Amino acid sequence: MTVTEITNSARALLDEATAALWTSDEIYMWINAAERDICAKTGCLESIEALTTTASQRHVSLATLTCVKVNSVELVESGTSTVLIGGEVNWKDTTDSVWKDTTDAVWKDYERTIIIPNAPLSTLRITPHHFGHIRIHEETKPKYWVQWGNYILIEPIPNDAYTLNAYVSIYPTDMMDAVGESPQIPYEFQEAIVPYICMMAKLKKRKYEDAAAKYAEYTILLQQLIDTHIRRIPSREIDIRVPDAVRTKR
Amino acid sequence: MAAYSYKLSNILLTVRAMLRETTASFWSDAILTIYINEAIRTIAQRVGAYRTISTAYSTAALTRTVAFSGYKCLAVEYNNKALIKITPLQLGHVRLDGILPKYWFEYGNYIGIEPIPADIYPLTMYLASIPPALSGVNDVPVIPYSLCGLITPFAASRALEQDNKKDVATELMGMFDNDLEFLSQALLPNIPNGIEDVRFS
Repeated sequence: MTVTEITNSARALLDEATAALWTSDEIYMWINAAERDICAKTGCLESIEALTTTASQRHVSLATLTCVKVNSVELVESGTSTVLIGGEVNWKDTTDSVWKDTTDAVWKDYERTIIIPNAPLSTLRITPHHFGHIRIHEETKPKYWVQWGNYILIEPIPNDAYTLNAYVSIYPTDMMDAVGESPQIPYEFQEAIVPYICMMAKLKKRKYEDAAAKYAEYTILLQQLIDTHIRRIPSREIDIRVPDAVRTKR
Repeated sequence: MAAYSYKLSNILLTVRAMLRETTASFWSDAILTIYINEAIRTIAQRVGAYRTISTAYSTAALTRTVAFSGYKCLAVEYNNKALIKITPLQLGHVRLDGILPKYWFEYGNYIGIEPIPADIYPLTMYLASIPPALSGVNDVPVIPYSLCGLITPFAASRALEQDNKKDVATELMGMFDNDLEFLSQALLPNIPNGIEDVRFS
């Protein structure tokens, strides 16, 4: 949806096709406010940001991010491993195709290898009350975290600079100020923008009952969007197993 | 275009749009700024939104208490280990294993340490702090960005109350209360993960 489409939808509902009580600037202001409000309440604008720990320091600043909330943190292990693929030893002739014709130009083997990155590890969320009370077996890499204001705090205190991937919800980094622009939030969340604009417009018009009704509509819609798109429920073994009734059928 | 900034001049603009008074007439900017600062303090106080980390030192004069500045002290850490929270009733009844700080409690604007510190110990305090007030037009609230949108309905509610529009003021304050609860439930609680959260079962 573009700003024009959103404005047209809102103006249709407000029954004011051309600007009179509600100026275009006000409508744009509310479109941007709606996008920020939807981001804050649902965390729908998601991003993965790299952070680096500092040796002997518990906190890692989030000040450079446009962060609403940290949802999860992953320790990125640096380096790679080279792995030989089993059963893939190939014999290849030298260019003259003569079997062992000289000592320095023989058939030789090629061992195909692949390089894989060391596996990252999702770290667990705790509270500040847990610092020093979790058995960490002299581990010095980040294993637990907690968000505290504009920081994430790490347990155990890292002994080196480690790279972390923070899975964060962010707020919009660009305001919409031209009619052809579109919101940054995912398409499915954009439908909540129009009820928000109508709510603000009715407040300005001092139609408070109408505003309250729109506010209720907006809040219920956000809750539905959170339930449908934001809550993540992992599959269990039982969800991926073929039911007995199917397996035994011949 | 850059991200929206919740600087004072922009907040005043949104409040005035809601009040239908684009240039100051009944409500001066100074009055609205008072309501805006009240909103920021209310948000910070009610949900502990402005979270800071501060280091304080126990005194060597066998004093149990250490002062802090803020709405609430939520956790205390000494030597990379969180102290365990107790109540003053439990003083002298908890098991000690040395002279180093092990337990703490909050009392007024102080935290009390058990055992009574015998030396100067650095304590890291995790605080719900008091936000500074906005005064310049470019000042930005220190509360989280995601809660700044709530300043407008609160300030507008106070302004309409001043204008004796009680019903409207109540309506807007109800919206503020609902939204604050909605946002703080989603954003602020620190619920630790259990092992079941990372295991495929």
